[in-house]
Amino acid sequence: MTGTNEKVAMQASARQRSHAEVRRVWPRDGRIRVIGTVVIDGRPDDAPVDKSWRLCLTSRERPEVPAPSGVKRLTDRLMRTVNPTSRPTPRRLYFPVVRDGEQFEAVVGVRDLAVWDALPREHWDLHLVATRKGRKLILRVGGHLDDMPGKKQIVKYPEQYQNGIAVLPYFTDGDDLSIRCARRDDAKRSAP
Amino acid sequence: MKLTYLIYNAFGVGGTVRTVFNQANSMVERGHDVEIATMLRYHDEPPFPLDPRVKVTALVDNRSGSYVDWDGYDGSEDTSWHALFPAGLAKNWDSRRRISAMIRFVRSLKDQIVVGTRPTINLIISQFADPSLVRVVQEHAGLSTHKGEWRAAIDAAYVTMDAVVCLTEADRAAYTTAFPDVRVERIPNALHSLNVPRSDLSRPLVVSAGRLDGNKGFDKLIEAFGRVVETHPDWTLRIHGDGPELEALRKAIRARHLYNHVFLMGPTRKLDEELAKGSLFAMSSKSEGFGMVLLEAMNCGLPVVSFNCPVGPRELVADGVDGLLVPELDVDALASGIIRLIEDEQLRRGLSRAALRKAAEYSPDVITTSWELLYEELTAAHQ
Repeated sequence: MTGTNEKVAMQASARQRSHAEVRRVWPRDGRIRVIGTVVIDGRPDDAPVDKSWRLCLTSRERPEVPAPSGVKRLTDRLMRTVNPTSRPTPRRLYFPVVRDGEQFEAVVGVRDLAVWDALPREHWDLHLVATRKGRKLILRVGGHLDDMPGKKQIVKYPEQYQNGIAVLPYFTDGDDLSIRCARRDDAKRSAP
Repeated sequence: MKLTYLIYNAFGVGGTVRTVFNQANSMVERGHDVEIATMLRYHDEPPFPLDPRVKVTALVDNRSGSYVDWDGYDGSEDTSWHALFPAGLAKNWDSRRRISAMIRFVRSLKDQIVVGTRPTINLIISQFADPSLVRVVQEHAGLSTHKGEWRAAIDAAYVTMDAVVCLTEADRAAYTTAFPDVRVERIPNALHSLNVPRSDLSRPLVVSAGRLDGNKGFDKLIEAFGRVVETHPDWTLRIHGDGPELEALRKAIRARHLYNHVFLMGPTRKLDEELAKGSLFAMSSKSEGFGMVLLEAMNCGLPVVSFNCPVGPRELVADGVDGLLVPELDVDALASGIIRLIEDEQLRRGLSRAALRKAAEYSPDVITTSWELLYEELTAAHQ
């Protein structure tokens, strides 16, 4: 174990928490790349999971839509052949995660959040999700191990724009990572 | 000895307040009778620790929302001094009331030492102090910062003083030339303690601190650090402090895509702890009266790299011995200096040890003894 990892492990074991520790966030070129470390019970974790990890974005504002019944699905499909419209964006969006030992990397396209039915203002919370031996693992993505609390005021990422939507990753009051989407006229764009 | 420090606002956060509090605490600890007289008071608690044996006198107390003078004066306004000082001082009512209160206070002092810490206060001392007082100017600014009618007023006032005390050798030389008949001394600011957290120099972290204004040159530091992360992407930079350039610096960080590497941390009340987290300290100021934070970083065992700006860093740092000095405003040189310290751990550790030795020269004990000796000599000469 390297010195840095040892420190991470020591700090984390004090907290004994499980989460996805953010190392880098790169909001540029129409994408948001999130790079970090999986931490289980306060320790960096590289144990296998049943299937691949996925990054789950959960909208705070978007209502939970119950799974449609078989009849409803058929009706919807029929209606779309007559009047083609997009499906409502679900409350949860999933993205693939690449693992390299305890490290993870996930990419969210700005286009994926600038959805046709975007709300005036919407907040997406980030989690890494997987199952291990049938047990669900849901890890909030956040920055807790770098001895730098209060990131909301310290770390300010640039906004990116797509289809009139400003997409901005940010840290919450509790140092977790979320993404804010807001409808924005071009004239109201802030400079990067 | 009895000693009264006259300061503008003992209840506001600032370098002069911290310095005077450190001195007052040390002098009272050594058994002297110490008072701080502040021109204004808006809060109950001072911003830095102050020994309860230090008497605090608010010349105008505004805590209750109404103005209360130190002596309960409620008579008509004294306008007799208006023509004696630069015109701006008599412009507004608040300022006139505070100055009138200070004039009455200074007139009330006898047979002791009085220390002025600001040009306005020094003018009042010069005009109204009783002849029995030993008058000392603590000059926190370089002579060239006093301009126009203020410079003329200072020229007239300082020749009446028993001593002018500056922070740097450069200032001592300038004031000695300007006031050849006045005793001019250099006594630097003291560290508040040598007992502070020490860096173990292991973390890939560069630290800096200061007011976020144009003079501190943090835009240059951010630019330099952009070059550092090209070759050392594991290293980050934390800048502690607040100020008017905050948004401009945030924009510079975003424009250079340095948001994963450069962090504007805001103000902190635990500066020593934050400094000790770093493995080196960088200073990018265009000028520094003294460079207190550089000294505080050295006190935490940090090797430092600084622009060789006038005048503080070049007096505090011996280049290559206890830190690195690079040509002022030269971003490439600043980046190279930081990279050199990152890549050469042996150099980093050597400079760190030397920095600790340098910091010890500015211990409260050493500096307080300098003040004590000066006050004793001035008092003896006055009798």
